[in-house]
Amino acid sequence: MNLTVEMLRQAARNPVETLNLEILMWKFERPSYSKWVGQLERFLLHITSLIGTKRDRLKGLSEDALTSIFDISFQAINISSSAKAVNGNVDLAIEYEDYMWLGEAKIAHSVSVIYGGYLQLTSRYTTGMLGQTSGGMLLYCQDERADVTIAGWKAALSKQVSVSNVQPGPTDLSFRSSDMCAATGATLDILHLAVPLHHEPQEELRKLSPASSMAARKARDEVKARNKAAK
Amino acid sequence: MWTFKELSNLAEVEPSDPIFIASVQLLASRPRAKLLDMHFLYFDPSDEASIGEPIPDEEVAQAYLTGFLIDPQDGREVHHFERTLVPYFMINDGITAQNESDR
Repeated sequence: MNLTVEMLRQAARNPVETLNLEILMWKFERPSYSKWVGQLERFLLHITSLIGTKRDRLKGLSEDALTSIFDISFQAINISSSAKAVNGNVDLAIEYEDYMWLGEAKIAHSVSVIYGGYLQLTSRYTTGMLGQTSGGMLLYCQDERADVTIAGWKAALSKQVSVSNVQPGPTDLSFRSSDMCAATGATLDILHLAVPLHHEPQEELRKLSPASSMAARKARDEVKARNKAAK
Repeated sequence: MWTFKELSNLAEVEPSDPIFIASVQLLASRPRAKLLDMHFLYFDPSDEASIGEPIPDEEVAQAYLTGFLIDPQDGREVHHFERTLVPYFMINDGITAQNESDR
């Protein structure tokens, strides 16, 4: 059986396999900037999801170490990615030919810290040039649940930036916003993505209450009594 | 030149094996260590006996721009053309040229 392009697309089981094929096809079908950004974002979400499954091992890592996970993941599928100098030292710069997507990472200790990173991304690093108007905030949520962090940041940004035009994101732990590039006046599209790293296992802290133990005993006794009567 | 099917025969795996597909894609896409170049064979969907013929990269790129491929035999427009294109691979041009200059 000869595999056609259509069959290869259908065989891709996850964002990594999909993107591997897309990269191969870029030579023949140069993606539009918005399509390219969409492909990157799906990969970012996939990596975020994988990070979430290892948060017990990743909690406590530095901002740079955590960002390196994204950086290495992109490099592993042959997408140019690095921390680099773009009007300063941006945490994550992903590039393809003249396209660029910039990411600013923050350990989400407070909305003030996140806002500082947001301003770096939107007012310092972003070029605002054609094909370089999208980026993202990677919020490493170590102190509290990611849904709490993203909700707080979303509310603060809506209040602080009147033109933010906050919209739902691709997952519950994300949202989108817009801003204006100070240098060019271009509209910037920002994905805000919470990376869940809060890990507080409860098994050593919480014990079954006496009332719960009593309820279990009562239920067991009732079933035993029914079984005995049925014999 | 090798299609996925021919490479899978050499590797003794199923052509649909995801690790095999990923491996070939890696060899053909790594910018600074590209071993293989990908091109396409065109299979006429109306001809079950079609053995496939190489189609120039430029025509495939043009098809993605226009939304249809021009059948190389009769010039008709072929829509949904991804079902007619079978990737095949050749040793990267740069490697071939380097080998020839080393001889």
